[in-house]
Amino acid sequence: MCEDERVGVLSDIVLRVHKIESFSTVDGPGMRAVVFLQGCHYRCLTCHNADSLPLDGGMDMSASALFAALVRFKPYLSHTGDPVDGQAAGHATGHAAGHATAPATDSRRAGVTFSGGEPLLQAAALLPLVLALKEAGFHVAIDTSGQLLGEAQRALLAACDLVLLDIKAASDVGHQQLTGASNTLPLLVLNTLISLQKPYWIRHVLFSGTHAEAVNTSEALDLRKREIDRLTRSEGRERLEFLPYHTMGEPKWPQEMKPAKGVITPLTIF
Amino acid sequence: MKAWRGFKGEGWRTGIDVAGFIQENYHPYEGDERFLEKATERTTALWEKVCALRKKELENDGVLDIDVTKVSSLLTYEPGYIDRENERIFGLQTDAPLKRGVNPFGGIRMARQACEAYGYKLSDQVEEHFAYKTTHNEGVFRVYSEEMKRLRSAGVLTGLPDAYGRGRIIGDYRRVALYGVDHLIAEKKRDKRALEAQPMLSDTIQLIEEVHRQIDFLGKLKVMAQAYGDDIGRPAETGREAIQWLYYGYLGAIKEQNGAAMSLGRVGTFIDIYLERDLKEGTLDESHAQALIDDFVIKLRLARQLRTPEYNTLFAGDPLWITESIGGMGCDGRTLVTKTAYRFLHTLENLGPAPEPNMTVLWSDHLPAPFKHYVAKMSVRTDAIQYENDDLMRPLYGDDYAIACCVSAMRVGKEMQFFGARCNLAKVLLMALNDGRDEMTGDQIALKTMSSDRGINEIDSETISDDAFTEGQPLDYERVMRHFDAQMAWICNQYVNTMNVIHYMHDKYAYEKTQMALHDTHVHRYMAFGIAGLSVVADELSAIKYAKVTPVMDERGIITDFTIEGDFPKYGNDDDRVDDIAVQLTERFTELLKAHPTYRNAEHTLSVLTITSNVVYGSKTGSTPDGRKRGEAFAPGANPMHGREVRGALAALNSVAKLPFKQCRDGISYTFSVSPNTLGQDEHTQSSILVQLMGGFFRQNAHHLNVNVIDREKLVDAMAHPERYPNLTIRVSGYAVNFHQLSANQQLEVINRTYHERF
Repeated sequence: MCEDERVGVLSDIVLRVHKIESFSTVDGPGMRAVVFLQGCHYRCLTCHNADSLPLDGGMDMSASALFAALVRFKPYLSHTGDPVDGQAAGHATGHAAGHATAPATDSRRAGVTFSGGEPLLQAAALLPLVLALKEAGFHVAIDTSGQLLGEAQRALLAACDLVLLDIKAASDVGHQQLTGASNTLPLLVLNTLISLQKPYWIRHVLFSGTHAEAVNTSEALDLRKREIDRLTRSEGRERLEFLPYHTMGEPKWPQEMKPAKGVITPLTIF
Repeated sequence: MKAWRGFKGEGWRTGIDVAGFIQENYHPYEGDERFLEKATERTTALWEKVCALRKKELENDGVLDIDVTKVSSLLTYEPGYIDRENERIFGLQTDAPLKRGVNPFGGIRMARQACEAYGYKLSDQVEEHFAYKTTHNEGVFRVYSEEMKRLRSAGVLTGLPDAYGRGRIIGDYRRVALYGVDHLIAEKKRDKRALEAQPMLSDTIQLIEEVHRQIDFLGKLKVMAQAYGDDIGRPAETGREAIQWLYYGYLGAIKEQNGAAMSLGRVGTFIDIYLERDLKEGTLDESHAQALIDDFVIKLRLARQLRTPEYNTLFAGDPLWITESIGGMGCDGRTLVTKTAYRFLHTLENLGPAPEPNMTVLWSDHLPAPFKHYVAKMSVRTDAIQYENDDLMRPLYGDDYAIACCVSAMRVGKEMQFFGARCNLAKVLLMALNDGRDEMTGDQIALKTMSSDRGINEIDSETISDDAFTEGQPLDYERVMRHFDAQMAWICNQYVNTMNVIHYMHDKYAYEKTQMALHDTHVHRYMAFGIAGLSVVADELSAIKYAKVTPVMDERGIITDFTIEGDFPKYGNDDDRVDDIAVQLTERFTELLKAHPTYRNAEHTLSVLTITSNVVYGSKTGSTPDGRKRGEAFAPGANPMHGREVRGALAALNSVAKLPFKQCRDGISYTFSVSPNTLGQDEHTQSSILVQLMGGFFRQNAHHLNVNVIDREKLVDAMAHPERYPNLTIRVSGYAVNFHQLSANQQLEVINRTYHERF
């Protein structure tokens, strides 16, 4: 498909967008533009982006407008001048020895991440945009908590280069207490990734407090890490990231989401 | 000749051709930084002596001492030393480190005020001497028209070099080292003879007299060096001598001139040729090669001029813009990066971060990867480096250009510029809405463009016959643009004429003898105009076009505020609707400037650069239709207004990258601040991401980037606890400053800038 035809197809598709952030290094490998899609079924007590939750929030954008905005970041993807194979990788100072290869590999995968909200809720509309971006040379990642799995979601997962899967809790009960929903679908999404042989990262937010899912001792922390590791391990898992909860998202919480004081707090042990 | 032993090539040996010499003899370096050596004990001890003096200087309100008895020039002072036995490169501006000389040629009043501001009194000898002399400043004010004076005092044209040295002229100091002064004098005499054959009309007469003065000062330069025991009549024979010789050239320039920006040029690759020869001959090792560069940089860090407090509000932090251009590529495809490029940058570690010299990396997509990574790492560590697009400039200026001041490119020794400060474009728009009246004072300072009540400034214009804008009536974009354009056209005429007056008088009363002696006799001249408040005006016009903006008036009928209903696109979000307005403004302003002839047929250029004057410009400008309130600072240079970028760093970079260098040939300055954690979790990732970020920016033909990798919290803490961060250096706008040398208002403005963060 030539560029004009592709834009033609995309112009009929509408996505509900929360916001675009053009520069991030924490939403997948390397430098990334992130599209936060609007709408999420979960009501996680640790949500850091609560204003992206309502399905009717955000703004409508055509997939072609999104494509046009994202393709503007292509000049940053070229790799001329990257340190290659550990060359100039900080060995003169002894810094960052352990990172000699990983970041270089990451920078080669710079691209776009669709986050949210929950991108799987708009899977059908998202798929043509993802394909167009890949054709334009972008590495495309989806950051999801696995809330939905049908044909459209399967196709989308198959199309993207990498999936960042947020596993909110190790147990079904814990998942329900934290998000309001069962963990069946996230685990099905995980199995789908494994059967598709799709590279994925697992991310899990750790917090302290009085909540049943909180970790307050180093034993509990180790146990949680082992549980999540066991639950999500496979050959396709590139990374397992434990993210400490931070309170910067709290001001955005609507009244009904706010837990009692002390229920969810930043991690007290590391 | 002993001095030229082992050097290749023939063409450069006769006449003067430093670039040719470099191309024949330099060694490109594509490796990494592992060869670098730490500071020697001698260097460290010397530097500690300087640091102690600098501490005293800061405790003493920023000026350690002033010699009020003499007028600074090449031969005014006895030789000065820090610690004679332990110095490798010699020469101070006066007879003691950090003691400032007085230079009244720009204006005796400024010199007097500057002395008084620090508790000194200009001596009677100097006062008497200048009682019979015309200064540049006096010359200018003899000729300034009423309109020029009004525009100047209202803050429409501000920062003009009419009371201080214009600067932004780069002597080719390398000529002193390569050829020796005797050869340079002989060449100038030859040029003079050739000129004498031409019809003696004012242009020729002026030039012949200038060459005469150049020759005179080359002689003085030789005498100045003799006092330190060096014969610079002959060429330099070693690496140490090459650095020393070219430093004498630079020292002569800063003794003679207190120009705003006294840039060094592009000396690194040249010096490297000499150091490489010494290393090869076994007379030098890496540690001592580094020590020579360290010593040179120590000297540069000691350079000072005596300024008034008012000057400091415009250009804070005591800057001299000792800009050294580093890196870049040759026209033949070889990199101009040498080991000495690394050695220069390494002084930021051997001596710690500092604002001077103003390290300017000429960025190319084709720079060796290890060098890109190294400079990015040094940016992450020190916030002391700026970057300019070599791929954009090389096709226009060849591969031996350098940056004067912040962003002004010129061929070294072949081109110069007439510095022109800047026009406050945001205020021009307010004048357009107020029929040429100053929105702060109500005075008629510019053109009346509206039909009613035509006054002294009436022009014969058939295109505009509107009534004044009225309260309660939303502004109409097309109508605003008509008046704005007429006002810009009028201002551009005034601006060019003002510059012509200034530079005529500067040439007449404060001519740069030493620096121009280190130029070809026939130079190409630029006249560098500037605009301040570009992002404010772009957002103002966008607001008028896309939202509903209604003026609020006071009893005099002056618009003092605006009500804004609805949202509008804001510059800095990669949104063409407003970015195009910014682009068109620069194109139009340049076009309007070019309609007016310049002194000495200089080529009109335009910059989007404010230095730190964006704070002062803001304070002189009323509320604007974009929602900015009266007195609030502008964003610096080409930066988007503080906090208006909502799409993150790359979108902001993309907006700036759209501004056309073709129409802004004097540079487009963008100061970019990002928190370290946003770039990555460790230093290696941070540098890699920074390389990628700059690569993408410059690949889109962007011109300049100041990089700060710093947390806002750190600056807030530094304001409250300066003692915790004595050497905190940050890039502000085309140069770096020690954070503590900014005024409280400037510190707050820096803190309020957008720091790209992502959690």
